[in-house]
Amino acid sequence: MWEVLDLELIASGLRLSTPLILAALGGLFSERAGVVNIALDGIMIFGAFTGAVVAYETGNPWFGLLAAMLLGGLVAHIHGIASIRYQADQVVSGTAINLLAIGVPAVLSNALYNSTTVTPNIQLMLPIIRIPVISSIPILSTLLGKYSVLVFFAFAMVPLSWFVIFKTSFGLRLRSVGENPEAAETAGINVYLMRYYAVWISGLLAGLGGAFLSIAHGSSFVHNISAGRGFIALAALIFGRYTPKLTLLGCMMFGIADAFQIRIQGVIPIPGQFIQMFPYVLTMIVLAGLIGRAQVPAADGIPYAQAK
Amino acid sequence: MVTRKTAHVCFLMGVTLLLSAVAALLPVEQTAAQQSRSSGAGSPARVEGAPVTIPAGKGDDLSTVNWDDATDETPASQEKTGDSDLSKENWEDEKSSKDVTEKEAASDLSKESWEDEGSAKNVPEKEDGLQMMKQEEIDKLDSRERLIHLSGFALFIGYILGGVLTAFATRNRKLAVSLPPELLILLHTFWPLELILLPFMRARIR
Repeated sequence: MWEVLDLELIASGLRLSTPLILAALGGLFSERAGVVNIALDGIMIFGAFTGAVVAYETGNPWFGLLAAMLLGGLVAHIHGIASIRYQADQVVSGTAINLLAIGVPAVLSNALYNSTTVTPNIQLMLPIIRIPVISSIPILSTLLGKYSVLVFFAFAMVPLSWFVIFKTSFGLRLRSVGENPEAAETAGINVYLMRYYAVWISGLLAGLGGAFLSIAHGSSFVHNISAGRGFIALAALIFGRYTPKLTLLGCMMFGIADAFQIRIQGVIPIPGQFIQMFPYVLTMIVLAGLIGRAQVPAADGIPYAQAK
Repeated sequence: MVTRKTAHVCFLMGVTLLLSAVAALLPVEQTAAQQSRSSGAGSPARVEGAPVTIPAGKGDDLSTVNWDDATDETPASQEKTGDSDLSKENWEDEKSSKDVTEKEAASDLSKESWEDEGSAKNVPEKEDGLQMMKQEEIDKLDSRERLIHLSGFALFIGYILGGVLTAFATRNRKLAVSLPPELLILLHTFWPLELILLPFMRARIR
């Protein structure tokens, strides 16, 4: 059993943590602005479907990636309109989008390709990047030598998100509307607009995370492709105390757990179904143990009525 | 008077239009290299210059489909949902259909030229020639794939940067202040449209 604990496990874990990182960073923007985005999983599914279809139809995976990102933003915008303008319960709105994501891609896939569960394989996937010098160094080549371009993009988004949220005026306004929207409005900040921006950015990133599953990690969209990764990303965000750096660690932990359960199936005499539960059980343990200690933004999940 | 910010926006528009034109004009075709890779995965491969394999659906005329290019594994897009194809089968002649199949196979074999089998001297030269041709084709197709990736990446990055810069550039414009945030987000999503509308809303607020 212990032979599965090698460098390749960490490499697989980093690869599998990519959609989690992207979705979790998206959730970070939204939660910091005070809007709970439970719809991350649904947005990932929409992104995966759109990415696969557009990449297949156009023959260019980058077009699929762009389309997935934009559609993720639009779907999140629907959640934003319901939560911000109409002050609907944010959890209910997000759950509605998750339910839509179960049905709409299946209907569209059936209409386009006569199959409700899978789309055709794309011909050209996103490119694999080999870093020239690192690829020749024995240990580093396994850990860092060969990944899809989206993996590098996801890891690059972590410091960029940190910079935007904590070192720019945009980030300061974003955090202020999430902590005390009344004070922010008094200071002249458009609370609605900042929250819309945050939810939109969360949708863009979650859409990218979904597209990774269908045009970088896999080569088509399959039913339930996300397998609850949006919720795991939320758990990683809570585990990371709503900071990009710790969220990255949380996502890597869940990604390595996912890679571990894949590799250990068949090695130990435990049914595969129980082994597949491992990342989700870990998620529940993390949520049960850490949710009380996480510093949630003060106005998170509370609809704000703009003064007229 | 043209201000610096207006010049920046015009430059941005120009770069974006150029990138879009480059991406749109580049032919995005399926390469044989990708086709050979994807045929292993069982996808409906598209051959350059050949008719596209149409997924079979209800009532489709399968006689027009080019079965020579179909892959061995049937992908999801070629699942037959209707029973019209099966209803056309004549199940009573099941034995005779076997004979037909065997006859067809035999006729295909009869078309093969077996005379050249013994001439081993010509085979290596032919194989070298074929290998060179294949290598050239593969190199050509690899370079085309690289071009597809470069153009796609340029469009992707250009669109993201364009969106960010457009949102930043329009933050003080009447466009950003007068429109409701819901519409503004939609405009930011399709920012080329926003840039087109910008000249019609030139006034600044601060």
